[in-house]
Amino acid sequence: MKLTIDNQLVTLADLRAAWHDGVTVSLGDDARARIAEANEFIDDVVAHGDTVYGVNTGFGQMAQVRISDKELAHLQENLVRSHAVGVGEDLDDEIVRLIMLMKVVALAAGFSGVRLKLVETLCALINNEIYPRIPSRGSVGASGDLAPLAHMAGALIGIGEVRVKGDLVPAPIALKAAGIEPITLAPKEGLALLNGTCVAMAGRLPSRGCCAN
Amino acid sequence: MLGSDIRQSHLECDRVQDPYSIRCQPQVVGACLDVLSHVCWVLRTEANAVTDNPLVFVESGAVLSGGNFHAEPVAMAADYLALAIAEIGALSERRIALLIDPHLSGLPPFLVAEGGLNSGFMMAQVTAAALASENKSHAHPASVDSIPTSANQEDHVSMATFAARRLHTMLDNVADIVAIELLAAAQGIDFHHPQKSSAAIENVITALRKISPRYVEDRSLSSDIRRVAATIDDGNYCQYAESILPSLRT
Repeated sequence: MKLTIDNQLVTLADLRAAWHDGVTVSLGDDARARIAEANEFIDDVVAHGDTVYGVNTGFGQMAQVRISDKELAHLQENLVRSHAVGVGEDLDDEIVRLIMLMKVVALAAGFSGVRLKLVETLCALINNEIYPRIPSRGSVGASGDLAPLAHMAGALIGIGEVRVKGDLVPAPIALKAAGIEPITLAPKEGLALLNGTCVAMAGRLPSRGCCAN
Repeated sequence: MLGSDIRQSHLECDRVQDPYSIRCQPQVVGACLDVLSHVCWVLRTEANAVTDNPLVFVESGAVLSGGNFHAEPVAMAADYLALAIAEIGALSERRIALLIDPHLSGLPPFLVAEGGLNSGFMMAQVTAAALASENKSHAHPASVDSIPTSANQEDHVSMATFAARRLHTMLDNVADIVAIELLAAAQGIDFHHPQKSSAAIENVITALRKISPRYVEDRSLSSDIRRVAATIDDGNYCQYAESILPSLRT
């Protein structure tokens, strides 16, 4: 199915079809504008030197630590690397696809401040059927599904492994083969990827049989 | 049951009330349908929500910290759904037990001819009982647990991810239980031959018999159960349910 994320709410039928049959996802003009506006706002905040959680501070209990401007990209990359501590069997590709799609939907609302390029790269992974290897266990379902989403985010920045047509491949190799450039995370982007209920949602949604949408 | 010869033949019989697993099916499954409907509403809302933090509000020029990532709505919805899945299996297992018991069903013991030589559906009910019991353990709510994380900054968490993941095991279990019930019920109806059930139910049996022949003498039912469960998973029986349950269509 083809799905354009813009002003319409996604339905459970959309999500079920994306899970079951696959999906080609794109961003509508309004969604692109929303994402870009929120991103400009974050750029302004950084330029102005304001202290904003997760943009130029540590995370969780370490939120009181101010991070210098030259370390902001490093901060986001460290967040992804340190939080990728999932264990257990890998999630199925269908579930991973749904997780990525729901992350696109959430970011496209324009309240997260990430760059358009980040959301487009996530779409490119979905559209090229490149599925980050996400271990199924190790989320407590608050702060979002931090560990599983860190594994997803890793693929975007070219670390960890992805599954392509059933084979495990190092993320940089798979991205290169598909002509996708790995992301260097900008301020707030690691956090925006890791916070979210997408994994719990994806685990819950694919009910089989009949269900109203 | 409309048009069932079997029902017609029992209208004047001495059994005036059926056990609850049959008589109260509408109340229990109706409650389960209400659960499904509520859970769909929660998930539709959550699927369209922004769930990161902090949030950027361009119009007011603010970056605000909040807790939209806390998946309590998903955790509670998953727990609620777990109750419905467990109850559907529990009720189905009770009807399997009823079918294999000649005192309750009026059918040959364990739904097979030459009982004794043949054990029939004896063990299939045991399998259903094991799965129904497993689902009751899985139905223990995940959302009531919380372990503080991140040096107590994140001092209450939802456990939604496990809450959701365990539903897959529960769904596999309940599909197997219902598959066993389908096989047992079809077998029971066969013993009433030449009397027939309703057209709706005979259609289900016709579909079922294409993948699982009548149980004539002892054989392993394991692969039959798997085949039937797979058709349940695929939603093959929805068309029959929709034809008799108008509320499912909306």
